[in-house]
Amino acid sequence: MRTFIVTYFDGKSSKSSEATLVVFPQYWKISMDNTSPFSNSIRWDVTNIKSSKVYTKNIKSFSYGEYPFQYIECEDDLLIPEIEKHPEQKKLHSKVDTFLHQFKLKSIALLMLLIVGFSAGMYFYVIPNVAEKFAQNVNSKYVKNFGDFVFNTIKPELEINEERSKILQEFANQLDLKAEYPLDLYVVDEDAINAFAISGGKIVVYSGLLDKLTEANQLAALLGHEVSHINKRHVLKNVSRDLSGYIFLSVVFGDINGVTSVFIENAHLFKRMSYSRDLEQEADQGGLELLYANKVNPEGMIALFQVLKEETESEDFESLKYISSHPLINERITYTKEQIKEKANTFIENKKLNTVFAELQKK
Amino acid sequence: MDLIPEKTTSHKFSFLGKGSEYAIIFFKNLLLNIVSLGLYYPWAKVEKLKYFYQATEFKGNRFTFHGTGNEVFKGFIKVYVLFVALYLFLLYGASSGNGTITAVALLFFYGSIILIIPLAIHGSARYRSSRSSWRGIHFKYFGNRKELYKLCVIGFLLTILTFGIYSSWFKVDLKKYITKHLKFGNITFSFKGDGFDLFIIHFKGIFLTYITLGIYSFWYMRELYQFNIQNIELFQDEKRIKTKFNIAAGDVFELVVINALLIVFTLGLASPWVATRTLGFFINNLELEGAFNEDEIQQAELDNYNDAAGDDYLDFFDLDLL
Repeated sequence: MRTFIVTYFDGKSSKSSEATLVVFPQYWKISMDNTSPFSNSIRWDVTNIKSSKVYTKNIKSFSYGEYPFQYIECEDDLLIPEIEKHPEQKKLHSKVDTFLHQFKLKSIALLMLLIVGFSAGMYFYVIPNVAEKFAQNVNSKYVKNFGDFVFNTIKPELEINEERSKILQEFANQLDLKAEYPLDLYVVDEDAINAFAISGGKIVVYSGLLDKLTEANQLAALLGHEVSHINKRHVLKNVSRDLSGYIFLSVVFGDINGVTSVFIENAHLFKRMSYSRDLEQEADQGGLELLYANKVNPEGMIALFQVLKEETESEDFESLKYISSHPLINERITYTKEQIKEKANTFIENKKLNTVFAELQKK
Repeated sequence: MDLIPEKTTSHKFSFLGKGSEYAIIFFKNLLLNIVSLGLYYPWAKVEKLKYFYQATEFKGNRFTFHGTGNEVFKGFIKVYVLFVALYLFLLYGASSGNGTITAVALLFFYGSIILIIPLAIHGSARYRSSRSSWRGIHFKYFGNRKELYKLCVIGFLLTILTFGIYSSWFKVDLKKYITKHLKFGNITFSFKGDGFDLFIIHFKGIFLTYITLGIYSFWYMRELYQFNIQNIELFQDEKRIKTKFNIAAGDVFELVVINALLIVFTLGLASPWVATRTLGFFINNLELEGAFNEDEIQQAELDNYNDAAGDDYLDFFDLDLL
């Protein structure tokens, strides 16, 4: 029978005693040496022994019973293999820990690999899919409430032109945009060459962009693009993907330290931009389909891009491709042209649409 | 035969933890945390503390942390529920569209978070103390929650009214209160620092750091560490035992710069090594000076305080009492 040298404390005072420990299946026997202030021999029932459950080389410690705990320290690394012999004492050691600490650097590498693999799987596959499914399945009432909340927050900063907004609304009414929600359109007096859509059916077009348009089919293409964003719940998808991905990364890497967080946050931004470009492309396609459905000349989409191209030419650098929220304008023109080529072109002139457009441009 | 007069002797602490050992614990816990989406945190925290305690040696024996994952988990849930409730209240206020209600909700939200901190300090001190032992003897915090609360509210208000100047006195008062109400068996503690001295350290430190373009910061940190540690005194049977923290500004420089380099060049993967290096710096340079007798400490009565909520609350803000 193997004996281990331990230091024993009785929990009542800090007096120590050298002792020997023998491990039996149901109990441990601790025998004090001759100079000990304590009684000769003590029996610890396995059920009441608590292991410190943490691996440090050359030291194992155990406590026993109720407060004030009896306590022993043992420097012998062979104590753990001795405990492992007894199935009754399973709770006093961890096989996983023993295994991991046996291989040191290899274990660290293995753990890192598992962390990277699992996180990558979650981040690139599971979380985006779950987030999108979520966005897809949220009740439309909530989507509308969310959109209204966002719009009401930014509304005070927008200079809404009521008169032109009404005409734009009428323009949209001429088209069947298959919108999930009733559409609310707004013209905002600002020079920006821009337009955006908010969940739940709100579309804002800046007068800067509106004034550059020369044909009704350009405006129809623009609305088609924005309505596609709304119908496909792009804002909600973007927000839920972005947020859930961000939360996941903070859980994983937030604990490590600041430098890692900054690095990871920037990588997250890249990914977000790439997703945003995907959504824009999807909206371009959706918009084009809406043009076909309404028998509007699909060349309007190309003409719209030409306007954007002239306006953004100066800032459109090839190198910005990966950090932009939108695809490069030349790419948008190219893929749209290809799609138009593939389809039979059966548009008819929509007189009413042209009249409303002319009215809109007069104001 | 006490013929030889008791002379002043020094007793050193040593930290025997190794980065490679702690890295296994660190990465194992990180993995489990990710897989459980953060729910494993309480058990990870306990294992970390157990390792740091067990790696700390004083006079041939190790420290032990007796807390359990279940205790920390219960505290974690309490803190979590509290935060969710506060957030919901804030959200409710913000979505009302009424400016006054939003303002009240915001004030209530931040006010509650700040007003809970003294309770958390009290809870954390009690929990950590009751769960920490050496040679079988436990620490015990027996401060009064109301007194500590009063001290914190007054200190906090005066700090705001004096634009932060009073914070030095506030911190010292807090340290004095906590150490005065801390026991290790029948050993008692006190903090003999003075608010004015701390204020001068800060004042001089910030001023000189500024005009030396940061170089003085290592002396500033050294003075601050020494103020916080060397002002703690222990009393065993009314005999005074002093704490010594012998470090040079160069040691602080080495710690800070190498830690920063390790983190930057490994993108944070060296975190466990940085943690053990840092603990080693504090523990290996710490000693007690005086007639300390490790065999003559009597266990105090039980404070079986199993509520880890205060400790978990402070974790949320990255505050650590010890």
